[in-house]
Amino acid sequence: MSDLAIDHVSVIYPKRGGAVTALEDVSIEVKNGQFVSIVGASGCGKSTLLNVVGGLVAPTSGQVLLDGEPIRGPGADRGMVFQSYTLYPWLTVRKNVEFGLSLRHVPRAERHRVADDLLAEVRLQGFEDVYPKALSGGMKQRVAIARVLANEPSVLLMDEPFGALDAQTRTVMQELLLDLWERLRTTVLFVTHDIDEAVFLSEVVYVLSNRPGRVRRRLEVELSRPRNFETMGTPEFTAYKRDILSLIHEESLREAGLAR
Amino acid sequence: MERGLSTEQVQAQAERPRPVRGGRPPRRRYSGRFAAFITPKEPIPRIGALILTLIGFSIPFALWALLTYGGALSAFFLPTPGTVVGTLWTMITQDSFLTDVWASVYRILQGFVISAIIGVPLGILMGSFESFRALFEQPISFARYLPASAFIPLLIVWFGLDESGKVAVIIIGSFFQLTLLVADISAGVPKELLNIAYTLGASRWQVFTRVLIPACLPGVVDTLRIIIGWAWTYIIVAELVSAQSGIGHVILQAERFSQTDQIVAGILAIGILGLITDTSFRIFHRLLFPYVERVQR
Repeated sequence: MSDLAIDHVSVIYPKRGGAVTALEDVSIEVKNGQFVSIVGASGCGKSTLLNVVGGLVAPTSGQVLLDGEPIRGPGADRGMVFQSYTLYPWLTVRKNVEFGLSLRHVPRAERHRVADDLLAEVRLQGFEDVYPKALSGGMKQRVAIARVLANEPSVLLMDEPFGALDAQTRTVMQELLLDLWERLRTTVLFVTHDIDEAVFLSEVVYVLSNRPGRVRRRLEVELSRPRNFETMGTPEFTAYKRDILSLIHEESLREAGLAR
Repeated sequence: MERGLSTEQVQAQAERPRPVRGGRPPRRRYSGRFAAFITPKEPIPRIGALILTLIGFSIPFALWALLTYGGALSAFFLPTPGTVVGTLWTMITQDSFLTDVWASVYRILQGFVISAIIGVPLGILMGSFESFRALFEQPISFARYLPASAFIPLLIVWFGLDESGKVAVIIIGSFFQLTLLVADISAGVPKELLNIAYTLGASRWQVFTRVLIPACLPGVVDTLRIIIGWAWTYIIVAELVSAQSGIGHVILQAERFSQTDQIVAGILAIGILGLITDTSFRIFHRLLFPYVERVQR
């Protein structure tokens, strides 16, 4: 069981002549096996929040609890996938997937088996021995996902993982991720500025306000599953999307000083 | 709709791997045969590149030949290419020139290896740890501007005409530059590569050994290639001033006896050795780091 609780987290960055509040009193709950997204305009602190959960940024106040235990620093139980391509270029696809296991000196045969399984899951059989430079952007992110899953993390943290991909590849990747999640039921915390993506993937969507980031609203997305790209054309989908869009639009107006 | 199927289809189109190397660049459809040669950033055919390289090499030689064979310059001022090549051959076969070449090479290797053994780790540490950078950056940046050749008189006082003086010139000339260049390489390793390792369960030490160092290596080897080129210029200067052997020594001897052909032969030999070093480093780099994305030529 792995319930994740972000408990009254604030992050304040010191800055010359004052301080910047990136996050203010954010509380988010992710139940075991849930798919939760955080959406917000760029600069709302959503990546900071994910880094706090990942243990890469320490909160100024508040805490993050994983199964009731406060997290201190990064760890293999919270794997991350970033927007930028982070595969190790000097390792083959297989070695990249095995990286986390090799850090813990898991025997070779076992590593091999795990990598084979996961590469099959992300449909990259036959690419085991190529270097990342030979892969397209979407394939690189699929390897990154396989690499993180090899560790069997309690929570999968994804920071706009498909943000750098073209629209067609992105849709394919979203379907692939949903399919994976429905079978593995790993807990996922997913950050994006793409509203379609958040609604399409998630069970729960948190909308963050701009500067400082606060939870503006929590929405449960009750679209039937399994979902596929056709889900995005349904009126229900559009309704969710419109709700979130109007919230974010308000925030953007406020940010631009145009609020009425 | 059958979901897996549609995914596969789209994937097949969107995710085809790009050809890595050796693939012929697509032909430019709307321009003539030689347009690529005058279009910026456009790849040119391999054979064309080869021809241009040969032309580039022959221009200085052609000029040299024209001036000397044509009689514009006297043989004493600048001997003909034929004479020089002949002299070089005689020096190698009869005058034990190769012993002098080896003397120079050996000094460079010593100085270069010492510089690398200290400079590469220090540079990596400086680029990765703020603490090391704060401690060493300013003194090294200062030392970098001190001309190595200006140290030669001092080194003669310290070491006499001993070998260590020559090696010291190489070290002074290469160590500081090397350290700073390596520091830049390690500072340039994206932080996300490190962060990912932490979230995959790596310790600080593992992040250092398994991510930071491998990420630096290709750049380091490239830097070593550049630095060893500079080492060649310093060794000759050191040998011109004080040495009983080495290419610089041979050149100086030749000057005493006004043997211009031997001077030019010595210079030519250095050029050839430099080219050999550079090419070996490039081949070494390719073999060692097959995964590095290279600009297609």
